[in-house]
Amino acid sequence: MTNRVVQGDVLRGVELIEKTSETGGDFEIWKIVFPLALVLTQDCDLEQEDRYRGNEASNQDKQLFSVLLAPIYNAEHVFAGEHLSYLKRDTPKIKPSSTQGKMLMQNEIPRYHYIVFPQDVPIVDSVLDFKHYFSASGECLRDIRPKSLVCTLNPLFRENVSTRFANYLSRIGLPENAPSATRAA
Amino acid sequence: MPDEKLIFDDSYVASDKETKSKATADAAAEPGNSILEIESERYAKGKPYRVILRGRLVQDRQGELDD
Repeated sequence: MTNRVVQGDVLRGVELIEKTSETGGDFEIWKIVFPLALVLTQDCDLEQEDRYRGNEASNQDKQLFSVLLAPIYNAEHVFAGEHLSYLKRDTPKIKPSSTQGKMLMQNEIPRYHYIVFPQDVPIVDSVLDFKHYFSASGECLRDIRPKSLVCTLNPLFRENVSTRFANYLSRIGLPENAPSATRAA
Repeated sequence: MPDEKLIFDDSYVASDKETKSKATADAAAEPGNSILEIESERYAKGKPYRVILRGRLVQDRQGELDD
């Protein structure tokens, strides 16, 4: 098993620092802990950074500032609209038997990615919400990976996630009260 | 589907009290920090949760707080 962070890694307990403050020596650090998160950064970038890190003969052109991740939510929590309840965020309920629920599970809704893990991976059916992504330092991820790695998505599946994520991110958002798409001559 | 189907290590189902003491120990182990209080709004069973660390620096940038 490689020691470096790999695209498609499923890691436990990844932390996002929300904010920090310090006044007169008193400090606060607010962070969100994601029980599970998926590494989205392209593997060639991760591989190159790993190869050249600490190599004094080369420059630091391949070094990254951070690694992109997406939280992995329990699908049942998402359907119940409760996956962000501990963060005091309400989300709409989705009936799994409804058209929307079925479309979500068949990955026909661009915003979501439904993942069914194989039997030997101890994770229930899960959902990525492509509106939710965050970054963590590569150093932090390298530190936690030996104890936090649950599994790594196989290349075909990780590319599927990566492509759908990129497509969602690059969508053209139209305003809700859009003017007419055309102008009269 | 019940939360317990998510199989994590024991720390993920620890009580708030246990979690708090473990986090305190971990944070206090960081050199230069003296953690006074840790607030975990809710410990999660598979859901994201927020942790707030509050503390006092042992030494500020000028090294004056310790005096």
